[in-house]
Amino acid sequence: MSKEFLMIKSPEHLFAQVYAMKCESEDRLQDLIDSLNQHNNKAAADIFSRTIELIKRSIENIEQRIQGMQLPEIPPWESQWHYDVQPDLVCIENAHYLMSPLQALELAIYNEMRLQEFFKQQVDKGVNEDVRLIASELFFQEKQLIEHILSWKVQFENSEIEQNEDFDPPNIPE
Amino acid sequence: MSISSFSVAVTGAGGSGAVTTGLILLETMAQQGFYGFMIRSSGPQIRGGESAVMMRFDTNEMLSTNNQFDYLLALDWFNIERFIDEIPLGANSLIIYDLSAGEVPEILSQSKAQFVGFDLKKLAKSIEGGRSNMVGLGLLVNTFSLSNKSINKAVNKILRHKGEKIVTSSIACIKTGMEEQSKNNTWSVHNMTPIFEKDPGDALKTESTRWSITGNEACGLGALKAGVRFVAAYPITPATEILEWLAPRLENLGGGLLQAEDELASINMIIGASFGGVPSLTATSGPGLSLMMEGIGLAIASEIPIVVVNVTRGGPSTGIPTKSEQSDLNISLYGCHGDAPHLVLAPLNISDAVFTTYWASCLAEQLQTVAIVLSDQFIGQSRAIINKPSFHEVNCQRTTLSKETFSNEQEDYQRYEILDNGVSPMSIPGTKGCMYTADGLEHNSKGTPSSMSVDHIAQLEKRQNKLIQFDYGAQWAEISGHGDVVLITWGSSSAMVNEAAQQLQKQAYAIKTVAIRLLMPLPIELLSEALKDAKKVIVIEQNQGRQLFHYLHAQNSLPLNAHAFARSGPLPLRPHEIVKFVQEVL
Amino acid sequence: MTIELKPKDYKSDIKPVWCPGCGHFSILSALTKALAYLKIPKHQIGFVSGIGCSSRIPAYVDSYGFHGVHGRGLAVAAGLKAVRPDLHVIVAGGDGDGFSIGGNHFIHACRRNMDMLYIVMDNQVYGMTKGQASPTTAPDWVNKLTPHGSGVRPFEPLAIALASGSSFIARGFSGDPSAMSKILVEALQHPGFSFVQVLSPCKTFRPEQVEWKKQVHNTFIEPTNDSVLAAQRIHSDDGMGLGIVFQCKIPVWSQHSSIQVDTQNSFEAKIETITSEFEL
Repeated sequence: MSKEFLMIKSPEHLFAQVYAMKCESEDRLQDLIDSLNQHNNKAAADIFSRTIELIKRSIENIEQRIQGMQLPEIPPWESQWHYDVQPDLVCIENAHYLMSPLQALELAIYNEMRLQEFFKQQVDKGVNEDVRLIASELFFQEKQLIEHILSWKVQFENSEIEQNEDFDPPNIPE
Repeated sequence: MSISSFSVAVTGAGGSGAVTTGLILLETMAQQGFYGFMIRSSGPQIRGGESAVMMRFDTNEMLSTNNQFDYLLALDWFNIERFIDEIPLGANSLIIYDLSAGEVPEILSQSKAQFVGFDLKKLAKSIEGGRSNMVGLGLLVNTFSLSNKSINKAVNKILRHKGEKIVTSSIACIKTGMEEQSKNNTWSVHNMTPIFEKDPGDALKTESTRWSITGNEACGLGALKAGVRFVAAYPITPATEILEWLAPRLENLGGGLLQAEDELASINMIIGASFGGVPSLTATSGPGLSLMMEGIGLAIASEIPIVVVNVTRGGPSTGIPTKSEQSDLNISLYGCHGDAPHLVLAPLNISDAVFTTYWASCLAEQLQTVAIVLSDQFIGQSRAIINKPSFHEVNCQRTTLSKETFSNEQEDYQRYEILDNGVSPMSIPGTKGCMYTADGLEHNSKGTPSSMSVDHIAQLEKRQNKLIQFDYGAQWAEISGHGDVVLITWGSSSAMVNEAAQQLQKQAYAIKTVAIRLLMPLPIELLSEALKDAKKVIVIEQNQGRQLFHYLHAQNSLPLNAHAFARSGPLPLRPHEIVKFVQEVL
Repeated sequence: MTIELKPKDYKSDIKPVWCPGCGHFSILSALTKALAYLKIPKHQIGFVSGIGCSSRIPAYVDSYGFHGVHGRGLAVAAGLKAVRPDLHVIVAGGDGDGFSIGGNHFIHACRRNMDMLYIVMDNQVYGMTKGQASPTTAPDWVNKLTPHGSGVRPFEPLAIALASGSSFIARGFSGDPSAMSKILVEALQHPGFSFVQVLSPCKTFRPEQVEWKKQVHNTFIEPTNDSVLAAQRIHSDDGMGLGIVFQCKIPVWSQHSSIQVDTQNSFEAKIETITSEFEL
């Protein structure tokens, strides 16, 4: 189920939203990287590590662009994503400690594709010209980012194993 | 023959006023200058049923049971067989009874005691609002030559809440009883008028103030003096009075008592409160202590100071809630899973309960550990006239980490840092820069959970060393007398052991008594010092399982040929049992 | 001068050991967002928990924490709050910790209405001990300990909370962290006992819970303060309705309790008075 489309009123508003969501994405990716490393799935963690570098660069870009801007404060629940495009939602629940690099790739791409969809909607349905322009730029940046991630796929195309098997039974730490 | 002490019991159906009689008698004797104490006994009913009070009076501070009762005032014969075990009588005992109560029961007529009957009912009827028990009281008080001043003061104190009329009629009944006693010559015939070695009024002339207090109240007072300000508890016999006494007084002192839903909540609540920086305590009895064990382990592992007062009752399981025993030593020492060293202290008597609870609470704070205070029903629910206890104050302060002693420039705060004395400063929530998470999981010095052997060993040693290296001083035990026969005891048995020792010393035995206050950690060297010249060692306690005896052996602190005198409740120990045993052993 | 803290600043240095895909990550994220939004000073937070995967959360938050024993978090928190009403007390635990062994404490915590937040991270399983049924597990779920399923009707936390007197009752879903952070902000601001059940799928032992995101529904748009209405809502719900169900304004425990712990002042004189009560 989706939330309603939000009319972004100004470039500041758009940047505030995007910045918040990108930072959130970075945080959750870092959680996932740490967790996968902890659970000894370095291959999948590696995919997300490489992804997070790209995210960090795009965050830096945004930070440069918003220099001097007065961004509106957005409380955490007011991120206006469609329900099923929320990056952290997908990020977390589709992960698995045995996930393969290919599955990780799919996850990483999925996030960015949803972000791309958000920008497209703003371009299509927005009324503020500045907003539509910026959204358009960001749309193409996302497209590039996605293509970059997809380019890694070739490294894993020959791996047959869909899901690793865990030869050790679960522990009971407490 | 002059004596220094004598004993009185009063029995009757619940509602006949045996307890009130006892309370007034105790208070009157106190006002007159006597010392003494009173035990109550009752049936299982909430109201009605049967009740009895057993009292002993002396011209000096007296906290031991007697061997035999001199007087029994039987207001009626209702279920008297329930109490008769607790009221040993002999040829020198006098039973004063109500003629209108019916025939003297078989069980009493078999005892060699003397009897004298009065028509208490008829005498009471002659006073408006009169009651038999007050007439009976009058018979007794005349025996002890108690002054009107003492009587009036006592009746007013005990009965004023019932109104002027009751006070007046009670005093009138007492007067009537006194007159009747004067007319009757039974006492002189049987030589039943006590002549005291020393004038009881001497107590009134001394500097020291005297108190009327119960053991439960004494524990409460000790805790307050040490700075305890939060109590969470669940009612249980015979500990409930501690809580009831503390509740309003804690409020007055800027603290409070929270009634928890069960003992599991109680122990965890006081841990939470202590974690928050407030010295905290709970009170319970055996069944509750069993439930609290998990929480006690948590407090030990996370090094959070708490005090648990256990007022021991007859065990195991539900046991005998209204009677005393010393059978909770094992659970107090060994009740936790894992290696969980902590403090176990036991007051020696009602007066000592103030100091021991105070000391235990201070030690808990200082050493950041659990202190179990092992009281029992005999101490807890008995009321005594004692000299105002006095003792030296000790350090009650917790070592905390305030913002003055910690700044962000320092390295990360190590809550469980290994220091020489084993006590690491504790930061109190609300203080910046030194946050930590307390944990029942084993942890490293920072407090982060750890399963590494180096951390487990270090922390286990820390928690043990902090207790072992501490200098507890001379208060670990009360040692008295000299001799190569040493009687070791603890808790409420101490008074009886000391009395037995005095009796033996009069018979030219050289007896030394060691009444241990600090049971865990056991001051092994000091105990060894106390026993170094001993040829015979006897361990005396009121439980079937010889719990202290086994514990001392486990600590290699007893000679192999040591003897054990251990008998269970519900009857309290009496000096002559101990005397007899010692004589047999020697 | 107060420094603006970001949600990240509320996280400790310790990396969670939860499985990748665990819903608890979202809860931690939503909670840190709520704390940052409300600008609650870190050193004034007392974070209490019991035992279980959920109960590890205090270690992951940079505040004062207490990791106690199984099921007793609410009791520890009650003692802490009673003497330190100045602290923000948060209790977290799982469905086993809170509704099985902790069930009794849950009821009485609701009754007391102390000002604190209680989050139950409900994954309908005992994760830490390898996957047994919990009180909220469906009766037909098969596992090693109950090979035919528990056969027993699941515990209904919201219903019990309402009947026991909780003044704030909500349900969240780890799959919607934004909505969850709103609920948590409301819960933290609510004066009284705030109970938030968060459905949080266990990736490792209940992989089928991935379907939850299709089953949850944002039913409780606005809370009601009418307990009868709230009872109707709860009973006609399938257990997957999200939002704040019930919120009412009743006196907080500290308002009617006589416990006012004051450790600043000395009470020497009063101790003397108490001592003198015993004098003859």
